[in-house]
Amino acid sequence: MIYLLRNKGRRRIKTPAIATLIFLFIIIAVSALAPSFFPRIISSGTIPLWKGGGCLENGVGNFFGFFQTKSSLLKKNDELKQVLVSKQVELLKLEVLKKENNDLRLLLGGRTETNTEMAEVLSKPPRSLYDTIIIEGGEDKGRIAGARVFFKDSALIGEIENVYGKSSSVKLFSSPENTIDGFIGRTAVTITLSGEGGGNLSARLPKGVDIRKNDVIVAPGYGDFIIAKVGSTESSVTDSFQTVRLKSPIGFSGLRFVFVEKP
Amino acid sequence: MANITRRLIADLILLISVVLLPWWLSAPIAIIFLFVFDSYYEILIAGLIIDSLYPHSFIIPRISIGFTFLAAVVFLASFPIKRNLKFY
Repeated sequence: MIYLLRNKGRRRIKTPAIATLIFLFIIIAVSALAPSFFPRIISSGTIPLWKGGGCLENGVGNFFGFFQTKSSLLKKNDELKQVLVSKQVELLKLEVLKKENNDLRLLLGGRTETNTEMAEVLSKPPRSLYDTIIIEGGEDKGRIAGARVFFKDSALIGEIENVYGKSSSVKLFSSPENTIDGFIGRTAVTITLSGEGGGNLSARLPKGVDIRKNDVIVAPGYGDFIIAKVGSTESSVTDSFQTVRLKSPIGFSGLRFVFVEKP
Repeated sequence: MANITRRLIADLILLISVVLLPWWLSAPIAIIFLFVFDSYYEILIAGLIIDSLYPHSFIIPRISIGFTFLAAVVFLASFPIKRNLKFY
């Protein structure tokens, strides 16, 4: 015997379609009236998960680290020792330059250091989207939108975009559609960088401007903080401009702590 | 009862994946659950969570709704797809 299938497809989709439209309407209406309503509730609820997730990542890393062979660890240790020695020499040179820089700034009557506060990174790329990071501390720690965010005392990586109760979201300079002005450290030529996502930035400069691979781009204002490093330059015969491809000075996936400018 | 338990466990997995994993890993998980369970409305909540955690305003100015909108489209598209698919 042949049984015909009952055609209840259209009826089945009608209710979910109406429910979805109502849901979208409510979300748009609430977001338009109170833009931080959902972010505030959801970010406060996810902080324990992020913290737990960080412990889990460390635990998994340690577990797999246990299975590394002794010879590979010895080899890695030797390599790291060599790197450490070269970095110590560079550090000494940097200390001298830093002191000289501070003295010159004092002579010119400028500020010599930035007042910052350390903050733990709760979510970072690739987990977070659009080159943003979520850091611990929001209104409870007096954070304000627009405050600059640093990596140690050498790199400026972004600005606080949204402040919630106990967390804040930081928009990195490499975030798409983001632009920032800086200047080439070696030649002091002004350059406007555009975020490309994934820790990448780009800029367009006239062909005559002297810019090379590994040049650093420094943020304007006091502090001489690095915002990007030149990766490559591209130009064609017919174009009077050159395209500069830049990378953020630090890898965001290894970021654990940042420093936030205090108001 | 077993169905509800399975669904609750799936919801928990989805929530954890949305918060802790990159979007390109949590999106396939959400799509799998969409086809495993009937009317998987939770995918809309997952979209809302992503939009709220990482605000942007690509579709509507000053309103972060991109992932919620995408989740709604996938959710509604799943009905005709599921109707025409046969699971063995």
